[in-house]
Amino acid sequence: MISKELVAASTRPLLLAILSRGESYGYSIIEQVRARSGGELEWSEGMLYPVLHRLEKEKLVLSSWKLGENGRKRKYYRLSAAGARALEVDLQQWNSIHNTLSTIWGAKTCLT
Amino acid sequence: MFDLEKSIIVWKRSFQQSCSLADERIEELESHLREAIVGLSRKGLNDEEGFLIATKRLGKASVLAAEYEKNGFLGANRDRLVWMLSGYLGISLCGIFSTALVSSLSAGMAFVGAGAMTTGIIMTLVQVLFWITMLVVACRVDNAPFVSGGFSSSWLAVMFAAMIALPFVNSLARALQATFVEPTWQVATYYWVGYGQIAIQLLIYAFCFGVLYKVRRSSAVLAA
Repeated sequence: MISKELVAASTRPLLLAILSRGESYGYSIIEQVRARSGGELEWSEGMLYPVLHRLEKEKLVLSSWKLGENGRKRKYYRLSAAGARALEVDLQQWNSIHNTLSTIWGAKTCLT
Repeated sequence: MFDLEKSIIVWKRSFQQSCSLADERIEELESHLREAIVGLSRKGLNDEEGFLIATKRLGKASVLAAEYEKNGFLGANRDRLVWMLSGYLGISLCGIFSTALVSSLSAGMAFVGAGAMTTGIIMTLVQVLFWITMLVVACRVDNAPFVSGGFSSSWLAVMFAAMIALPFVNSLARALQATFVEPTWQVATYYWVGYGQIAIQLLIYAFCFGVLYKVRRSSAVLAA
């Protein structure tokens, strides 16, 4: 289990990173996070939607209602230009923390 | 027979009634709920089972609404405001309660014919015990009634009722004392209780200043 603080801190960069690969909707985002973390990260709906709402308010993501392939309406989110810049900053910061930890722990992997 | 559409309508209504979520948010949550039910049906669950699990995962409307509210104009200060106001109300309520408690117990002491000084000293001890108990309770109870971001309306109602009722209890107890003893007894008792209260207040102030002083030092270290 990843600690609450770490989950909270990584929410924004993960969300922006997922959306940087193309638009997506809430349910799919949770599934992607679960799959990519190998089940280590379980995002709750109660956390995700308010965060999406906040990022939308901060103009980092844009949203629009569209018909999904199942024929139902879905609210899709995509990255804005400001969101792409924010992701860039987040990435730099996470990389520097990751690199610092790696030098201390002796791991040779890189986030990018 | 389980009717998925009907259940979703009932679920949606609970959201519309119990919280201030905008319709578009609820619509998005409904869309999510339907996706989740379809996802669960692929794992072999029927509509009813899927609905139960998916709604459980989405959580209570009030909790979700509280999360959304953090994006509102109060923002992150919302929790601070809740703590500050509940701290103020909590201390006030404890004060009113302890006054009413002392008056009621003093009425009992007056009834059994105890001396003013004995009563005054015992009442001071009662207050010390009361505040220590409150402190222990505050440290022990980690699921405070406002832990999910705000008091429930029933807690607010109880607190409000107590705030209104306790001063009446106090006056009643004082009036009751007067039927058993001379006014001089009351004056003498409160002379002692007054000293006790000053001592308690000073201790509480010292505690607060001590904590604030410690916090100030550690934040200075953090900033450096």
